[in-house]
Amino acid sequence: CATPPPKHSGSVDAERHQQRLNALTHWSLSGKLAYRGPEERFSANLNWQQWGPDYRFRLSTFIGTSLMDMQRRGKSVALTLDEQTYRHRHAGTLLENLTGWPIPVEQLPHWIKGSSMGAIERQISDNGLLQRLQSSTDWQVTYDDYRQLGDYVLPYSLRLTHQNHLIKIRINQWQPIDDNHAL
Amino acid sequence: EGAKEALEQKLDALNTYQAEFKQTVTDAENTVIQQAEGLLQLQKPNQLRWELYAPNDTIVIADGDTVWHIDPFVEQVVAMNQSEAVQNNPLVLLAQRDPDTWAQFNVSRDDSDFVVASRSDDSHIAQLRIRFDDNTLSKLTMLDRQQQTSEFDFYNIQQNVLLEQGLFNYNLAKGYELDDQR
Repeated sequence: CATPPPKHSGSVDAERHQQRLNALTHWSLSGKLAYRGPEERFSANLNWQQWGPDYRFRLSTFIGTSLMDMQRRGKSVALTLDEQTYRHRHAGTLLENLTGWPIPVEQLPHWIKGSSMGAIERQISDNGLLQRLQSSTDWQVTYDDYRQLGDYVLPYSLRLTHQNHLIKIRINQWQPIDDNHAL
Repeated sequence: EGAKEALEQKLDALNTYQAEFKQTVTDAENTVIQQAEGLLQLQKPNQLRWELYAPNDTIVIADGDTVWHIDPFVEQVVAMNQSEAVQNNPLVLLAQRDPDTWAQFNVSRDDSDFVVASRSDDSHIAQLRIRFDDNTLSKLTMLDRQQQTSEFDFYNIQQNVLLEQGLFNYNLAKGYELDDQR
């Protein structure tokens, strides 16, 4: 499988970099997501596809079987778990009600790119890249392992913490799709 | 029609098995959603070691009684009874060859594949396809109930070579949490 590009060493203009990320609306990635909470700890393979406001967020087991499949199409979100499909307007509530995992699904498409969209506090490192953000919903996100991919600089590792919940995401493969051609 | 017996015979001929594999997971629309590479080792009658190379770094060891799933990314080890692990991880079926385990599965043939299907429908796996080229185990394919397919293509295959016993025993890695589900 594709090996990730080398670590990013240069620097970017912070604001222009944020604008570029927010203009990147069609992309996909695969990697790993780990969750550590008060009662439970697990890790799974992560696949995320984003088309503008719509997305498909999937977790699979290490042998490749489906654990969870969440899709937003416009206003409604569908979550498939153990061959049952549930619907709701708010993805995070739906997921937490059914699994107990407080994954901030609605904000993840921004944060996972290293965009500080919606953050109430942010820390930019001297190379212009987002190092840490704090959200109004009391999530703290920290980044490391930025890499250059084409003309984007994207994070390959991030940690999200909220009270006593920790989510670790490690990205093996990013596929930014420019707006001018579909997935 | 003897598919089960034929499969058992082929598996029985494998005193040991070692192969590297490329794993490709595709969804119902044939989009690749996961890829990995690793190493599978089997030791008759009931031992298995399955390791994913970096960056995925997951290890599964079946020592004959217990399946140990070691996950460095979350620093956790999950222990399960080997006989129970089979339903959701059919890889373990290759190391769990007693009659009462196999009684839970139907085996049929579909051109060059043996098709193993669980009789209980609360298993996540709808089908496990096992392919032999003559007597060489060459491919495993799992189909789950969301039509997600996980294929393991084997290469650098060595059958019936001596494997070191230490490969199949497990000692708890320091600092990892043990989730003992036995």
